[in-house]
Amino acid sequence: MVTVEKAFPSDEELILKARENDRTAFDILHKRYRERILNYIFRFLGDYQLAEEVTQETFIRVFTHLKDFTLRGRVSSWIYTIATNLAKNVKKKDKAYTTVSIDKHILLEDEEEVEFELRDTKSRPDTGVLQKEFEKDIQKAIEKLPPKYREALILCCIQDIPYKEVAEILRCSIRVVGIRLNRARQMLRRLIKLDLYFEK
Amino acid sequence: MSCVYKKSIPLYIDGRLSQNKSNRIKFHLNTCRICSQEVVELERLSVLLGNLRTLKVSQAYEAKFEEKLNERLSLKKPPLISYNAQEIYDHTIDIIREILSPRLIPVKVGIIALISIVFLTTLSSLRQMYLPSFIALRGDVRVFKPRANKWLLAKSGMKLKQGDVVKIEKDGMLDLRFKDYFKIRAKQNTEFIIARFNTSWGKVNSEFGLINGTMLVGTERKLKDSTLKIKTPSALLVDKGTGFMVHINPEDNITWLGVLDGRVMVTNYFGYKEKEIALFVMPNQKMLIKPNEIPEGPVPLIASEYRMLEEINNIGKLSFYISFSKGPKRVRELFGPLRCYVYGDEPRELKKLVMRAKNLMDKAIKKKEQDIFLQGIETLKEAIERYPSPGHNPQFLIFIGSCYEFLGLHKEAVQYFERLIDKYPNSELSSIACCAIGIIYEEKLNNPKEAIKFYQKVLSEYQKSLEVSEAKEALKRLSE
Repeated sequence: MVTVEKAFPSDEELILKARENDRTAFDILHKRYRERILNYIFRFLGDYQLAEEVTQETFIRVFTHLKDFTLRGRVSSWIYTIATNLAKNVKKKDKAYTTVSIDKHILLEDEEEVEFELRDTKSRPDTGVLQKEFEKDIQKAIEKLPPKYREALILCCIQDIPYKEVAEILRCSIRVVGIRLNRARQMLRRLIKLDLYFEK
Repeated sequence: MSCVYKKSIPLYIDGRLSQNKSNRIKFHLNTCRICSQEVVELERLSVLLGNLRTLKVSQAYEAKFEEKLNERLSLKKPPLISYNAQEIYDHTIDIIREILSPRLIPVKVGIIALISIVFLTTLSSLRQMYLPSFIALRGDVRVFKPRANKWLLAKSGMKLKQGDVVKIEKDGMLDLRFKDYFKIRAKQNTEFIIARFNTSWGKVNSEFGLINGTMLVGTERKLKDSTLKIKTPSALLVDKGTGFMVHINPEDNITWLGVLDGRVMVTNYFGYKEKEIALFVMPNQKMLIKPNEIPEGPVPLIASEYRMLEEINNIGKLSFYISFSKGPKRVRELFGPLRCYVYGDEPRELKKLVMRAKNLMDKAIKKKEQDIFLQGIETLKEAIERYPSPGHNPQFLIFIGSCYEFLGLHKEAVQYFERLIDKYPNSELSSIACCAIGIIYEEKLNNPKEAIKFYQKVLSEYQKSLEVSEAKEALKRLSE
């Protein structure tokens, strides 16, 4: 009989198994988080290909540093922290990096189309919004934010991660997360003309 | 225009307010336009952000990931330490992390504070280790500590720091050592300052300012890459070798330098630029450096000066002094309580033996027990046998003889005095021992024949000694 625990092992269990060279456990963990990390990094860097590379690097680091993980914190926070640091380093290394149009990211080198999905149709802006247009504008605006505000905004507002976990990922207090998020929102409001997307 | 509630709006939107406060805001929103506008805008922003599409990984992702991972794993070097050791290492690291990452902030702060205190104390004690210290002292030696702003009485083992001034009064002496780098002996009426003292990575940069007096310096092979400078009122001496002596005449500030071995670089302050000319004084040479004058070249040492310089070899080595007055009746002091000093601490074992003997004798005198006193004498005998040296053996022999005499064991006393005369006939103490034997034969053992023999020996062999008058008087007495 397959119990719920066996069918859905916790992150910690997977890490413990992966430490004992159980490759399947690592693969489950990898599949569980790769999309979230990819989206997080994509929103942070604004480049799909780069985001995918950083995601791969993140999981390579996770695999090679399995023994360094202490079971005190959350596995997800650990992975997110690695991803954050890598993403920041990419930014630092590649100063000449420029934002490329969002349409271009979806087409990869070998011209294969990347699937994407809309998150929740119910909460879409109530009136007709041109998806591509607004995506482009918002992504540009996000990229203009300073990194520490950007990461807080992506994690809290786009990825819907609880404040406590975000604090753990960013290695700061919950209060600081709140402050950064608030500033990020204020900056974003100035950068995006909200009225364009909503009818009065 | 703003509203007092505006600050709480983001928290309200995120649902991070208490039920009470949330209700209050809800009520407030009905009446306040600013806040309701804020809520609408923030909600719109949330909706916009929430509607961004979610990307999926490309089809090539998996294959690329595997490729990269395999590449990385093949690059990863095998651990240098064996598997078990690696496990132990990992475990230790885990424990340290556990200790260092408690959840409570005060505990964290406490641990960090504790670690830093331990680190600082270790650092300061390490620094203490790297300071020169006194190894032997005699007489009145004072040290001026600029931090405490007062003169302290020097003690053996005391550490010296940069900026300290050391003053040695009349009849005083001081030996100073820094690890295996150098030894310095400062003689009486000397004053010097430690102008600089730095150590880093096994190199020492030190500078002593000799204000007046005499200093003997002996450096060891470890000083090769380091520098030892001695500044005097008229010159700067840089040690390039092993042993030399500096003396400053307090009246005219003339520096006298004699080199036993190695070489010393001399620079006169005022005659020329330091870098241009440097005179080297080689072994067995001396030099006089007058202030404001270009020094004349070095000249060879004379025999007496050479003997004086040989004292450099004795720096730090144990010596045993017996203090006699300078009068003709000094031989009589042997029969009373003798004043003696131990100076230096090398070899350590010898010092231990001498100190043990001293303690035994002190104890014996307190308890009035002859056996313990004899044990003390035996310990001294052991010291002579194990560490024979013409430097301190005559002193030990005469002291042992004197101790036997103190206990009333005249024959043993005579035996030891005779041994001294036989082995060290040229010693300063031999005339005293010779005269003492005469006195013991005459007064204690009632053997005038033997007494006359020894008194005559004093007259024939030690004509210049102070005991001559004592011997002459005794011979006159005995002939009557």
